[in-house]
Amino acid sequence: MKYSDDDFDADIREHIELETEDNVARGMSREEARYAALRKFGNISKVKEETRAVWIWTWLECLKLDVRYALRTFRKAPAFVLTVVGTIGLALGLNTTLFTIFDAYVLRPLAVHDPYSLYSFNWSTKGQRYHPFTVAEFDDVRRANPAFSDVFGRALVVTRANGYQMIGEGVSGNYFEILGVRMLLGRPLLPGDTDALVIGELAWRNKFASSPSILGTKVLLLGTSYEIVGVANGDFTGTSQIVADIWIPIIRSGPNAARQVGVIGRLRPGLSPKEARAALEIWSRHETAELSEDQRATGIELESAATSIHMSWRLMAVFSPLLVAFALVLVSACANVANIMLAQAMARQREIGVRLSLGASRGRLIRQLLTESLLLAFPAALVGMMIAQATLHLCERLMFATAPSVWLEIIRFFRLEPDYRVFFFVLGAAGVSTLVFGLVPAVQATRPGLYQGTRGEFTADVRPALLRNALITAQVSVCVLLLICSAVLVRSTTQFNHSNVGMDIRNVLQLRFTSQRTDPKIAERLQHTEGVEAVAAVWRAPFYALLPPIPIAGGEHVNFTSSGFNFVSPGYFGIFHIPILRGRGFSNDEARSEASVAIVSEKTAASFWPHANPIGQTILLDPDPKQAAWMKLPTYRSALVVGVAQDVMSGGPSEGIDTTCFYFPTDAAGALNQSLLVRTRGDFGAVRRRLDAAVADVSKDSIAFMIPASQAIDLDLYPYQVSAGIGLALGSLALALTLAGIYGVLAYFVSQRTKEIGIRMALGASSAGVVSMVLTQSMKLVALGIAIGALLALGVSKLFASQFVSVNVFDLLAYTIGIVAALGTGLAAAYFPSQRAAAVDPVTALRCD
Amino acid sequence: MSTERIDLLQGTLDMLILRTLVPGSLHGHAIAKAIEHNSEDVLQVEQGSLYPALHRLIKRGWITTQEGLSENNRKAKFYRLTASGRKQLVVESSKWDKLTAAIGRVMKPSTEGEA
Repeated sequence: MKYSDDDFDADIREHIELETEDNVARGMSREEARYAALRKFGNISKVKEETRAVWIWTWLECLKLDVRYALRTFRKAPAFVLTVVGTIGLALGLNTTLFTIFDAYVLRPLAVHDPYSLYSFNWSTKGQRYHPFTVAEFDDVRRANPAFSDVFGRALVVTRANGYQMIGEGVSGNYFEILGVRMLLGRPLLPGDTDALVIGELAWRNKFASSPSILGTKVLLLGTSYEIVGVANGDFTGTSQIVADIWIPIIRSGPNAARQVGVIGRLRPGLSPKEARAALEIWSRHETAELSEDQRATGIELESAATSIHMSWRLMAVFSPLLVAFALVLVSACANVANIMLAQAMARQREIGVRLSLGASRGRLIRQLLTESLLLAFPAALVGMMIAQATLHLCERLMFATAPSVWLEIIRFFRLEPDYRVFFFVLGAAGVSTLVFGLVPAVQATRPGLYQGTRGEFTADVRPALLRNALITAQVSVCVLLLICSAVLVRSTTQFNHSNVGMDIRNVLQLRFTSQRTDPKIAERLQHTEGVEAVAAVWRAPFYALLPPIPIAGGEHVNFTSSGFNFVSPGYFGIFHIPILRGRGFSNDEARSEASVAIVSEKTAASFWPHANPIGQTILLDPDPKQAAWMKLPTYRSALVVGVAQDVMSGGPSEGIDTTCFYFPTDAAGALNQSLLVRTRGDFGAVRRRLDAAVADVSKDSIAFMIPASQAIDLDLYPYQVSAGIGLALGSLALALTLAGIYGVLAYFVSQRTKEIGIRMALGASSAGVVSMVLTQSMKLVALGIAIGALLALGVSKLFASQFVSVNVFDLLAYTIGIVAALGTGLAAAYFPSQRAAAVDPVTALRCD
Repeated sequence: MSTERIDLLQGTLDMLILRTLVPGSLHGHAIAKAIEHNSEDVLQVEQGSLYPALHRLIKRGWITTQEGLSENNRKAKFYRLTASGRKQLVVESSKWDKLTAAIGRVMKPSTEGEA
């Protein structure tokens, strides 16, 4: 019987009513009778409580029994428990790692006052989705202020100070006031400040040794002396996805003036984002109506600025390949666990059948099985949490150990620690997995009728075997694919040698400036700095992707052919020790006047003039003037070839040897040139400090980045190394899951066919024959999976090769590694079930019924 | 009708309920009335205390419930002995007999012989 409060209330009412009527019959008045009945009944709420306690106690007792029973079952099958807890734990751990990173950037709001009312505003024009605001335009927005209670502006500041790479924000005076940031020391920036500087807690600890007397310290930055007035609390890291070291008042003029001002405001109270959008759109169109058509606002973007990265469909699209890879591993983990649980439940069918026939209700049995899965899910959640912690720490440490050092100077980490949000996520995931992994097998296993139940016979079509087999094959393919691809990448990246680029890159530094241009005064001053051997100017510094193309014709190429080109100063070839094979280099006069002469690479010469001397030939150029603003185009339509230079990899290892390369002359004074190259000698650290000082000597400009050329190459390779690493990790994980998956399916297979195996053995089959039957069952699937996976890997590494020229698509060793790993896993997984099958005693197996 | 009333001994209520239900199923009020009546009003049951005992017996599977109509033609819950309840009653009453006999022997040693 089920106890229910309502039922019991009715019972009591009925009882008192009957007693009252009896009393009336005895001659009492109605009211008297009722009081007497109540008195005789006693304390109603106490009675109710005691009765309820009878049943609650039962429930607890049942739970205790269930738990004890489950633990006993677990003790009998420790391998099963370990596999399930390990698999769910791994899956959850992986998920949690991804979620923690996602949470840190996308879900966790900025540590400011009321982050959810902050919105970033931008208008879009015909060509640009986000129009880069100037400081003056920001002032206009702030003055007109169509939708916000207040607006602040922020611009990225990248520079060097005190010998460190610094990244921060140039901000309007009301920035700290609007955000309500707590200060650790001193005061925030205030309106009217010009040379005050606020430093972040992390930078204060790492770059100023947590000095307590830091307030008042002067720091030379962008040619100006700033005074540190405050240290911002560490939980505030700025308003972009980069952790800021410093905040300074926004620079309004001069070479370092802010070019792209982000505008963020607090929505006026009571205004919905939709209304704000409408108001801003009208205002923007009105504001830009006088401008040329290209400059006119065509729409606006109003996005929440509550988190580092605004959550959007676009963001999801960018990260979808990563999510898909993780999801694949997750899904196969879940399928595995469900399979194993089902196999386990099937193995216990006889037990369940017996309990059913003894009168256990189906609900009671399902509850028992659910208790078991819950008991499995909680340790799994714990394991998952620990795996996530370990993975995050390991990733961070691996990154510090393997990333090029310049990269570490530039990037800043958010604190990546699983917090309460992550904890609830894991808890939820554990709950869901419990339901999925526990309920399905529980319902399946308790379905059969009594008769078959006691005989241990259940219909074999509980789940289609085909699906299970397909799943195993797919798992094997996925892990073979991941393993082969990452092995190919690992071998390609480690085999790459710095000497392969064709240039001597040792001791060469690439300098980029805050003003984003080169200054002849700075170049001149650097030339005379101690420790500097040579200085060259260049439009596109090498190793940052393919040279930009323009149409060029000449020699055999009668029609214009898209060809790579660059502008370099005469010293460029000397700095990288690139030999001029024929003809001559550029003269200083040609450089100064950016004369119409060209030096071509060997391959270019072979392609354009295979049978003639390239020196003295004329090339025709057809630049398209409608190019991006940073494109530096030749001003002439024809040029004279004066030299042939040895082939190099201007685009870096991933692009390989330049297929075409035309060098045109320029010098540090040339417009749009982006970098200076410096060949140094002696102690690297000392030279770097001297370079900083030398620049500050002659200019208000400052060095934004100082990157050794060798590290530019490492930077080019790093993403491939990281993908190889992630691929290898996911591949190994997939391997472990496949192991569990094959094991689960075979264990199920063997338990299903115990009787059949018994009959075979009774009829004279040997143990070896039985073992080979089980092995064939699994190895057919594994072999198919390997074939599919290897074919896919061939396709994917061809894709890699189109991105990264140095990839060896047919790397035999990589393929062997992947295939052997998968084969070994298949055999290992099949070992125990096959032994169990071989151990089947025909007499026992047949007597079972 | 006796004026002297005795409170029930701890643990005997279960047995009394089972015994009361031997002739057939009864609803809660009828059980209370029957116990009082059969003891000639000596045994005083606080009627409410009947219910935790009834539910305890249900839980142990000694009685079950079914819907029925009371004397005044209203729906009420009737309690009925199960097979295991009947067995339990045999066990309990033999225990009770032994107990009362033992207590009797202690209280009135041998002078008046067995009753």
